[in-house]
Order: sequence, then structure tokens, then C-alpha cells
Amino acid sequence: MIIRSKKRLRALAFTLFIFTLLWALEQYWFSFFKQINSKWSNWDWISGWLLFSTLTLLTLLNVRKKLTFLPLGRAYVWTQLHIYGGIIAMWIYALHTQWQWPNGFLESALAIFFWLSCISGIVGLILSRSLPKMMNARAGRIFMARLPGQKANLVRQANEEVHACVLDGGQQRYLDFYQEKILPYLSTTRNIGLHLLAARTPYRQWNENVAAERQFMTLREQDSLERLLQLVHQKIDLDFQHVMQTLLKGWLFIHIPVSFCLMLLAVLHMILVYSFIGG
Amino acid sequence: MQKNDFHFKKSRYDRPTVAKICGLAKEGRACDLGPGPNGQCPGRTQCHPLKSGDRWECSRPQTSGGKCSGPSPEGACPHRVNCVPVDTPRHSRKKWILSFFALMCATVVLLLSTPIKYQIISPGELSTKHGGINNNQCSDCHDDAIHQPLLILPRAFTPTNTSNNDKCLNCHEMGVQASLPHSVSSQSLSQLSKDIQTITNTQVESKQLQCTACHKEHRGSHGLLTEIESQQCDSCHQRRSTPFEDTHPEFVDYGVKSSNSALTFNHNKHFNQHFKKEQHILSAPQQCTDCHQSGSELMEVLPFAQSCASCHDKDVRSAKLQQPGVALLSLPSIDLDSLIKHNIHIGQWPEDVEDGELSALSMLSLEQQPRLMNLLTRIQTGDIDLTDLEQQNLQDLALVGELAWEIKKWLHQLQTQGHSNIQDITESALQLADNDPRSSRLVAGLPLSLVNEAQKLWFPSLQNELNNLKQQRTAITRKVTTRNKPLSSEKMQQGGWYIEDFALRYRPSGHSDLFMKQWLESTASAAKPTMAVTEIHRQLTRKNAPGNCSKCHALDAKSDSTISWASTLSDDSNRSFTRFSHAPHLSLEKQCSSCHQSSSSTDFKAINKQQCSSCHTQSLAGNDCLLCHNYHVNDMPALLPSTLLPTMTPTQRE
Repeated sequence: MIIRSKKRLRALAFTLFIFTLLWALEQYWFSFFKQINSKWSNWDWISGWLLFSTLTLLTLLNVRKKLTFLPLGRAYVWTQLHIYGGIIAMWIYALHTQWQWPNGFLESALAIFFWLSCISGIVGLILSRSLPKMMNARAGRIFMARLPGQKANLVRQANEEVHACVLDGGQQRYLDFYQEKILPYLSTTRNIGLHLLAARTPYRQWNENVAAERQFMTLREQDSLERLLQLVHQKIDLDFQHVMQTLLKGWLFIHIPVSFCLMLLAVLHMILVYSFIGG
Repeated sequence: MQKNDFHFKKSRYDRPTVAKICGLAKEGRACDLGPGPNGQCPGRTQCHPLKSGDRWECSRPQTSGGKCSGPSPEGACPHRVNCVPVDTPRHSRKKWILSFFALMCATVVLLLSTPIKYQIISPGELSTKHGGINNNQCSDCHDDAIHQPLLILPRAFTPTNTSNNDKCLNCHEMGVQASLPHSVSSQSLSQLSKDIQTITNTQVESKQLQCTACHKEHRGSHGLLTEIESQQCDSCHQRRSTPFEDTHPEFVDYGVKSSNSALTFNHNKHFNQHFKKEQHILSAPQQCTDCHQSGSELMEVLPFAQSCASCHDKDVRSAKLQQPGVALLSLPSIDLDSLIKHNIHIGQWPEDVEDGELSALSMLSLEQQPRLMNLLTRIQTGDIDLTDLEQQNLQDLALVGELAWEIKKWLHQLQTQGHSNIQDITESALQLADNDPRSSRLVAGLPLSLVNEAQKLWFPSLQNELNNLKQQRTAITRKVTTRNKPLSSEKMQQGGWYIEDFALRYRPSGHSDLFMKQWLESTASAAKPTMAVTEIHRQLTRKNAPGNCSKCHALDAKSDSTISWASTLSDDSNRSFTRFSHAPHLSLEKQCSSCHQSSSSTDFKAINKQQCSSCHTQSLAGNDCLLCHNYHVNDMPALLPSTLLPTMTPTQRE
């Protein structure tokens, strides 16, 4: 992997340093704290609190986004902290559990939510790093809230075009092609699977369909069909945007609720540990 | 395609952070003002017409289609907008998150309200060792209060310093110092670890430790309670435990003499001298396993019959050395002429007693008479020679006379009282309790017929003499000659009691002879050993003593009052800090001599750390502390509940 950004290189180096530091702490903890029976000599206690603190810090990103009016630093910095903090949290978790899957029901649930949160976060990171580039390469970025309006606008423009063509002598075949093929396509989101793969197949398919139909059209109809094809291409772009943006925002529908539940179970875990540890 | 235009004439003002947007947005004709603060559609018009002079003009923005044909004459916009506002994606996500979280909270509360709540909060199954404790309730090992759910939360915020060892110790007997490091007192720990003080943090010796600091439960049914990491040792030990090859101190004379062997045995001498003798070549062992138990943990020495008997059986039976057995009652040679000369009357005394000595066992009986103590001491030190009393004064001669009478009396008591007489003497001298079973072993079934025979041989008129003495009549000293030749010791090769050289003797019947073992043990462990007891022990342990017991079985180095009978040390009360199992090492196609190399000066050359560390690395044979060391060095018996036999109820017993 080529690391292009110096900032990212620094952050990666810092994360590796934290990894090494944590590993050294885990390995040499007992040497640092000779006082056996002291809670400071208990690695489970240390790593547990370290993990909970890290998770709390990660959760604060959501709070930071809500408190836009407070000077709490740039959201970009918070996001970067969230990413690297998440990776470090996974390392601390592994050290805390000693790389073993827990036995109990509650702790298994805790582990499931932790790893769900991690996996969804990693997926989200990959999506948020790759999809915007793909979207820029295809058709730029559009507010998701505007997509339905723009799709409706395309339908309206298509209707106007067909209406004008029919007034100029458009034939039944032209009208049927519009009503059976183009209008349904413009009205609903299509080719979701192909858009997930960022395939350009829909363009090719529509070009072929229109080319096949054009030979049976008059010049006026052919001219109208060409404009309708441009509207269809725009619709393909909008569908692509729709799918990509759904992915971009959709992973948060898993990551955030799972993270909140993780915090709930973590607090419950801590209460139980402190309740039972005394005897 | 229409891009993101941010211009008041080209695009609407998007509010992605609000909860609701206009329901007509999906048709591309959302109203400019949007839903109200309560999320409801206010039913507005498309614009608020502006009055210009006396005319009303449309103010609809370009984004909504621009100016229309115009408001009504009263200035009302004719285009009224009504919709059902819809959630923005952000608001949908918020609702989803809150719903999911609420569902999770409800699930947790519901589960914690069910009867299986303790199974749910349990961090894992108990190990099979603890799986069947009582009712398998949390309170079996935890505080009873844990079963009150309302107390769980306050307990979490209440600092506690109480140890939870009590519930462990209900079942595990670890002694009164259970919570101390290694479960031994700080003094004992200092003593046990005196050789490694340099690596021990002495400040922790008196710290109270919790069992759970090392023994982790709830790791599943196959969880290992004794699985302890080396780092935990570093909590107290100053020097880091791993890697072994770098940090472990060098061994001190390890393997020079097998630490588990209780026998006095010199391998070097046997290899280089005894086994090479012509008479032993055929019977000498050919390999280590001829004498040591193959594949066992400690390579214990095989039983005597399999390992040593081929050469040493005759030594034990005293046949080879043609030495006499242990004398119980022996007649000393007395200078009768001197006694007669000074009118010291002792009655009959065999004149043919040659080189007769007062046996140590006889002294045990004579010690009962305080008057004779001084005489016995002088005889013992050589101050008085009973065979030459010419130079002794009258007082000493009188004492010698008393000594002779006491020997006779004892013989008579043996005849009349039998074994109980010896038992009384040994119980008194060796501080044994009444009817102590050991005292019967000290008698070893002495046949009374043999005592009678001895009396007839040595003192034919003993009864009359003693009657005369009782009536204070004089029994003139007379020399008598024994009539019969007694049994020779050479004919008693299988051991037992016999008469020889004016002594009642016992010859060991073989290895592990109870009579010899008991006398050696009793005299070694006597709390206040008398002169006779000390002398008996000295005679039994001297070179070429009957049985040659002490040739291999010496006093235990630790207790100094017990004899090491077993071939391996088996101290039931304590475990060593270090353990070693031969079996897995010998399976590596290594020979005994790979580690135990013969030495000319000592039994074996000392084993150095390098011999172990070449294999005991983390990646090869492992280098954990507990691979070779024990943490608990005391005994750990399981507590057994006291169960009354069904023969009697407690009430009946009372």
C-alpha cells in the first residue's frame, strides 16, 4: 500500500507506537507494579478501564457532531481520532480478553456487539474512503434529499418531450416505447445490483435498446428519442448516486445503534465485575 | 445532470438536519418554506403576494416556477400547498437508533428479571472441579448478598477490601497461612527461599493474597484453574521470570546428589570400584534402569530385592562378615578372683566368659538402678575394666558385685515377667506410651524358652541364689563351667534369636527387619536419650553393625531424628519449590548420562542451567515458571465432612 499523505503516515506511525506501547504494558505490567493485590497490578482492571475510556472517547464523536456551536476542534480531526481510536480499541480488547472468546452469555453478547461495531466501522471507513471517489468520477455528488426531486424533474421533462413529439406527429410505436420502457425506468430506482458494482452496463443496455428502436422512427421521433436517452442517462447517474449514498449513510444504521448497545452492555459488565469482585 | 447548485435562484435551501421535509419534495415541487416547527404541514400558499402601488404582484421564487399569472384582487395567492411531511434520512436514522437502543434496554431488563438471570450474568461455566458445588449458586463462592439484585448496584460502588478466600478455604485446607505468599509463614518463606533472596521481594512476604489472583474461574468446564502465567510470579519476584535462559539464577550443586534420594549411595564408587570386582561382574547392573524404575517421575530406586540384594543381601544378614547379632542380655567378663579376694559375693558366674562385654541393651535395664549409673559411666569410659579389678577399691568392687546381681535379677525377671519386662524398660527409656505398638517390635518375639535355656546354662542355681539374697544370706562367688555348647551364629543365617558367647542375640532376618528398624528409629528419635540409648544407637549404626542398616539408611538430613528408610524422600507434609519429572525427558531419546555425568570427586557432576535452557525456551519445551516450580509448597488435603456411621444416631451417642 502506498501511503501518499504525510499526515496519514504520521497517524499510522502513531497508531503503531500505541500498539507497541500497549503490548509492552500487557507484557511487562507485573514488572512495573510490584505491589501484588494492588489494583494497579491487575492487568484486567487496567485494560478494562482503558478500553472503556477509549470506547467513551469514540462515542464522543457523535456528541461533537451535535455540538457544532462549541469550539471542540475540527470534525475532520475528530473523525481521524475516531478511526485510529477504533483500531486501538480493538487491540486493547484483544489484550483484555487475552485473545479468547468469552464463555458467559452476557460477555458473549458484549463481544458480539463489540465486533459488530468494529466490523461495521471498518466497512464504513472503506465505504467512506472509496465511494466518494467513485461518485465524483461518475456524476459528482448531490444531496441525497434532492434526489427524489431531481428524478421527478426528469419524469416531467420526459413527459413534456413526448407530449411535444406526439403533437408533431409522433406515432404509436414511439409512444408505446416511451410508456412501456422509458417511463417505468424513470419512475423507479433500477439496477441497484449493477450500481453496487459500479458497472456501466445500464448505459450500454439503453444505448442498444434505443439504437434498435430508432430504425423504426421518423426523424422527429429519432430526435426526440435522443433527448429521452439523455434523460435516461441522467436517471442512471441519479440511481447510481442513490445507491452509493444509501451505502454511505446506511452503515451508520448498524454502527451507531450497535455502538450504543455496546456501551450499555459494557456498563452492565463493569457493574457486575465490581459487584462480584469483592467476594 | 443537475448538479448541486447553491444559488437562491437555482436551488432550494436544503435543511438536512431538520426532522421533517416537505412531502412534495419527492415530486420535485417541495414548498420553499417547508413544514412548521412541529413537523406539520402549515398548508401555506406558494408565495406571499407583494403590493406594488395598488396592484398585488406574485412573489413566487424562480425555483418554484417563477411568477404566476397573479394573485387575486384581494392579494391572495391562488396556489395553496398541502402535503404530508416526511422524515429526513437523518431523522429516520435517529428514530431507528433510539428504537434499537430502547429494544436492547428492554431486552436486558427483561432477561435480568427472569429466573435465569444468574446464568445470563455468569461470565462462563465453572470448571468441572467446581461444577458440582452444592446448588451451583453464586453464593456458593460469592457473598450471599449477591442474590439480592437490588444490592448489586450499590455493591459495585462500595469499595471492599474483604478477602473472598474464606469460601475457598471452606473446602481447601491450606493451613493457617493460606493467604500468605506460597501459603507459608513469612519466616518459613524466608527460610525456604534463603538461597534466592536476591530475586525475592521480601516486602511482600507478609502480604495477604487472594486465591482468585491466580486461580481464575468461569473459564468454561475445561478451564484450567492452575493455569498461571509466569508474569504473575513477577509480581513478587524482582527478577523477571522469562526468558528462563537469561534471568533464572544459576543452579547450585543441582544433581550432584539426587535431591530425592534418601539413601547413602555413592554412584561413583560403585561404577569405578565395586562393579569392577571379579565377584560382582556378573551380578552388577548393566544399565541405570536395572536399579531405577524406568520412566517414573523421580526414577525411584527399585526395591532392595531387585536392585541391591544380589550384592548386599549377605551383608544384611551378617553372614558374610560372620559377625555376631545384636546382644540383648550379655554377661560381661568379670575378674572373679579379685571379687573373691575381697569377699564380694555374687554367687555363681561362668568362668569361661571370654571377652564378654556388657551389651548396650543390658545397660538399658541396668540404668534403672541409679546407684549403678556412675559405675556404668566409668565402664563405658574405660575407667573400670571388669576383667581386671585388682587395682579397684572396695567400694568399686562392691558396685561391680551389685552390677552382677542386677544382671542376674534381670535374667530372672525376663523368665518370670516375659516380654512385658522388656516393654517396661524400653517404654521408660525411650519415652514410649503404654502399650505402644513399637515396643512389641522392640521385643521381636523373644522366645522365653531361650531365656530359660540361658539361665540353665549360665546360672543353674539362680532361683536359690536370689532367694538367699532376699533372705540376706551370703551367696559365695563361685566359678561355674557351662555344660552345653550353645547354637553357633553361623547356623542362624536366616536370622532370629539365639544364644552365643554368653549372650542372648538377635540376627536380622533380612532386609527391612522390623527389630532393627524399630531400635534404630526409637533410639534416633528418643527425646531425652540416656547413655544406654546413645550407646545402642552408636552400636547399631557403626561400621559392620548387624544388618549394616546405616550403611545406606542414614539419619534424615532435615529432621536429624528420623532414619531415611525409603529410597526417595517422601515428605508428605511439604512439597518442594522445584519439581522435575524424568519420564518426559527420557522420551527424547536422551540417555541418563546426557545430564548426569559421572564425576571423580562427587556422585555426579552438577547440572548447569545451560543443560536445561537449550531446550526450555518459549518456542521449544516452554519456559514458564510453573513448569518446574510449585507455588503451594505445603500440603493441600481436601476437607472431608464428618459423617457419622449409621450404627448410632447423634442422640443415641449423647
